[in-house]
Amino acid sequence: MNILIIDDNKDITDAISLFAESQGYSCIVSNDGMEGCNLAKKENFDLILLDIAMPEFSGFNVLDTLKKDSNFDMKKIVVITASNLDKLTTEKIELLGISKLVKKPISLDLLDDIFSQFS
Amino acid sequence: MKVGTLIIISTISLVSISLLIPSVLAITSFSEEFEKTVKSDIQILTINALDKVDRLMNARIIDIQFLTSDFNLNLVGDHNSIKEKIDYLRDYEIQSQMYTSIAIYDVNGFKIADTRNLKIGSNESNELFFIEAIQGKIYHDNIPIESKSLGISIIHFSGPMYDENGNIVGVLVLNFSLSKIHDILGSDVIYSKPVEVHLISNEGLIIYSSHPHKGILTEVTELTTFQHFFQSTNMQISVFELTDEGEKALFSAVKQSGFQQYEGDDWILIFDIPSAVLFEERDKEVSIFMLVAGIILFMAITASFLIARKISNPIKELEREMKKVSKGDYEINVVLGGGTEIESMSKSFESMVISIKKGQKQIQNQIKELTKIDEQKDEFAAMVSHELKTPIVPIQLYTEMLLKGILGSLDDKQTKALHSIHTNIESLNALVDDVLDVTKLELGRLALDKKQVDIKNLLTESTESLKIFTAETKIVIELDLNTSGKIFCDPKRIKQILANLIKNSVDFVPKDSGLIKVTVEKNPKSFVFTITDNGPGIPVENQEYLFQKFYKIDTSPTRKHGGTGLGLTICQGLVESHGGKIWLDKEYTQGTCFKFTIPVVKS
Repeated sequence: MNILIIDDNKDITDAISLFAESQGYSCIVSNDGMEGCNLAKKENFDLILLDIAMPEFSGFNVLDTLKKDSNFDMKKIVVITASNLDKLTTEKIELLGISKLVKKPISLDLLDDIFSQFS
Repeated sequence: MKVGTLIIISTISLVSISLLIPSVLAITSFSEEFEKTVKSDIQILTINALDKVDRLMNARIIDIQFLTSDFNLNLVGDHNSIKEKIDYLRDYEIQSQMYTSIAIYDVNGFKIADTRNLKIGSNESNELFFIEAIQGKIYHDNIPIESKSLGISIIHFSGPMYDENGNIVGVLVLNFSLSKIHDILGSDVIYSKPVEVHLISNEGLIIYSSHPHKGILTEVTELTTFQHFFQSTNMQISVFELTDEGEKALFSAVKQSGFQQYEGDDWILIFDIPSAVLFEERDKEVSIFMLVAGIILFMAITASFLIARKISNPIKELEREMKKVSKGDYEINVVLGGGTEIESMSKSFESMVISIKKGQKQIQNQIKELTKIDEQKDEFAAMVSHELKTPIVPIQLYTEMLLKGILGSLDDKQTKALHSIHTNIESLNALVDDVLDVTKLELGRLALDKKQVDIKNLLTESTESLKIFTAETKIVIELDLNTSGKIFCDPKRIKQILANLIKNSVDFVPKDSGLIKVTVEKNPKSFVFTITDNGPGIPVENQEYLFQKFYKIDTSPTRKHGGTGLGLTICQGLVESHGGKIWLDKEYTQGTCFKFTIPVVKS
């Protein structure tokens, strides 16, 4: 299974990819929203873990861009955020057709659940 | 002008108006009295005038009685010849100056002598004056007769002529000229006013009229009114007010009552005076009074009206502006003049409103600032929570990977240290969430996601997620599922309340025999949640501060129990944002008992 992890915090992407690889998944990491978005469009990933609060090109921008691509399967996306999103924003994100929205902090158990759901 | 002055003016106006009332009464009574006097004066004048006519007529009867009496030897018998008799009568006629002529008729009605020598030998045996007199009566016409021979209206007075033996041998006739009556009524200055005088017979014919167009012995309808009136009543005098030729006029009428030998012929004397003339004086006075009264009334009313307006208009205006202010519109516009107290009141009001406006602006600015501060606080809390949670992610993930041995095997000391790190990270996570909740509750920005949920499911799900906290103990969480139905709430938040309360209990009950009971009862108004445990209970001295922020019963550095000290504060905030109440049941002695309510919402 190919996983794309988009998060501006390198420590987080390192930790998640380390765990994912230890579980036998192949991982590509991007610490920049724009770059991650391009990667997501270019290559065929099975799962994309997406952060929301990123400088310059945020998770919202990534979601909007990907949504415009009709060939792109939004179900592959799991949003992971540390922000305390209000109800409206949460609903708006969910309406884009993503798989699920989880809040930071995340545990290994949660990641394990997500991985097994997509593999 | 001061309001006081205005009130004085209106009081004076009022007094003036009230004084007018007795004045009007007085003038009315004066007017009536005047009218009465005038009427009675006229009546007396009329009676006197008619009396003169009666006396004149009486004198004519005395004349005929005297001339025909049996002791008047000048005319009785044959002492005197006819010529001597006529000479005597001519002297008499000249002396009295009342008669146009005196005539003697024989028993057959032939005129045998006349003082003027007119129509000697004419037969007038058909005339009433002859017929009556030949029978021995003293006679006179009760209406004047137009004499064809004389060409004037006359009244015949006649009586029988006797011989020495008392036999009737002829008739003596005095032709009394109507002009003598005219002289009496016309020559007199009857009244100081222009008066029309009419004398009418009992048949309604004019005997005399001062009116130039009312001919002698003609019938005048309006005057016969009086004649009809006297015929239908027993009255001798009367005063009428009639409309004559479009003008109101006073008519004073008197019927003849006779004098001595003269019994009267029911003639009626009428004085006719235009009311306007008669009451000119009074009307003048009344109209002057009315004019003055009118002016006073007009001035009083105008003054009152102006004063009322002067007082009420500014008050109305002030009221309108005050209403505006009471509705929250401070853009008032009080334009006043006149210098009354109301104006200064309005000015005070205006400056008051300006002060209020200023004050309000300040308050609004302060509110704006406070809102801004609140927003900053909210943003700050959100930012802090985000910034705190982000570094926790790798720490937690690496710790868990280390503990799971993914990154290689660890010895016991290392494992223990990592466990401690892991536990503290979880506490830190919980603290960040709690701080964020408290901030939101305090700012009133916590949005509830309310829906109808099944009460049993809610309770089951709440305790299910808490099992990990009791996993390594013998603590029992008992659920009373006897209450069923739907509850309208934010289920996530109710679960959070229950979790906070149960976790508190878990911390305090004995690990080997702890029992925590959760029950829900439904009463008409609310669901009552009760959480009891068999722990040590909360000391009385600590009960008061339970719901305060960061309040912990055990603050010693060596405390056994964790927690952020925000749990109960959050519980209270969440219950209250649902419209319910939370409290500690102090009467429960076997441990701790918390109760909270969530109102039943009828949908």
